[in-house]
Amino acid sequence: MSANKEQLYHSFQQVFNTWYNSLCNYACSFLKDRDTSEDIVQEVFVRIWEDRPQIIGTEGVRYYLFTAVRNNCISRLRKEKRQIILTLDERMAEPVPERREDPDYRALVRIAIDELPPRCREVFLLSRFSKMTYKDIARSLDISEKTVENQLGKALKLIRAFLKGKGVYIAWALVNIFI
Amino acid sequence: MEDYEYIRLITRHLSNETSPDEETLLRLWLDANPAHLLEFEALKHIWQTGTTVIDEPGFEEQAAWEKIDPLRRPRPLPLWPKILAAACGILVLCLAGWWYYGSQRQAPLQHVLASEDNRQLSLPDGSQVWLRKGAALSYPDQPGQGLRQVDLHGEAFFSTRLQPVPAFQYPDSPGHHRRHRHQFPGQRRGKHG
Repeated sequence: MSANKEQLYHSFQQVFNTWYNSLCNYACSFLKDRDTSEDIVQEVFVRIWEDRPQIIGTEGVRYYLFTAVRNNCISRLRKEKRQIILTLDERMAEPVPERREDPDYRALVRIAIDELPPRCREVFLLSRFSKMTYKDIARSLDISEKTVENQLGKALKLIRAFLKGKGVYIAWALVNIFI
Repeated sequence: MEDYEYIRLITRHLSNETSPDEETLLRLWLDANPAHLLEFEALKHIWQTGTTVIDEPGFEEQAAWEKIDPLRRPRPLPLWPKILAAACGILVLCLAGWWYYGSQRQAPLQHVLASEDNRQLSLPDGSQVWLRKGAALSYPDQPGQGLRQVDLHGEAFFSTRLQPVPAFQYPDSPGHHRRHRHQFPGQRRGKHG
């Protein structure tokens, strides 16, 4: 293996180690299936190595990875004749999850995220999984930066309202203000 | 600052999107009231928790890497041998088709009818034919290799060219060869070759 190829290989491995788990979680937020999510993420990595090695090690790789995973997930859902919006709606309309009874703060935050409106949830999840800039999120989702900003603000506001409704938000604040 | 405005500002701050001016504005807002700091910390905590709860570990990174590791994966075969093989296949098919078409294709026929009187004509191989009035003759437009075949309706007198292959054959009596000055009464189909 040449020196350049070896360097590329190590960069590729580093990118994989950095983003694999987040990408799988991101894919899983669409597909609700761990095995299929892993398949899609692995396929995206293989495609990068074989077809677009030039982006490995650049800032653009993160954008490419998340956008490709999202697109492949949506394609997969379409193939299965399940529209993404329908899936998200179904998820929102799911019976009360067992976690709802869980008083744990993290579990409540998770429920609050799951109950965000679909578009808002999508922007929030991509932002949190990828840590991309508003600009890249906007490009990836084909929306404006202003929409990204609005949706993230809305997400934070709705999660806060949800936690307030559960009495957790104030309790957390009261506890922490005196620490 | 309105509720929406400070949440927008905090969201920008948490996303590392704030400008220096916005950072100053946020700082002023936080210093204005201790409750603001509490609100900020609560929202920051939601933001951080939101990041960790959705991005939980649990996927087998090592196993996945072993699957996609470029050093372990078989190298994909280059495309050009497949293209070359396909091109060769297509070429062979084209040649076979061309050969078959050529072997099946018959030369265009000439049709001559002696409608009003006896008529004399020369065949492509140089043979002379005298058609009796009312007779019709069809023959290939180009001299063929091997058998020379004509269709005759009526009576005709043939003076066949002897060279290079003088034999003349007609299908009604296989093996019957006449060298020249043949006459076929009625409807006949003859081959001369």
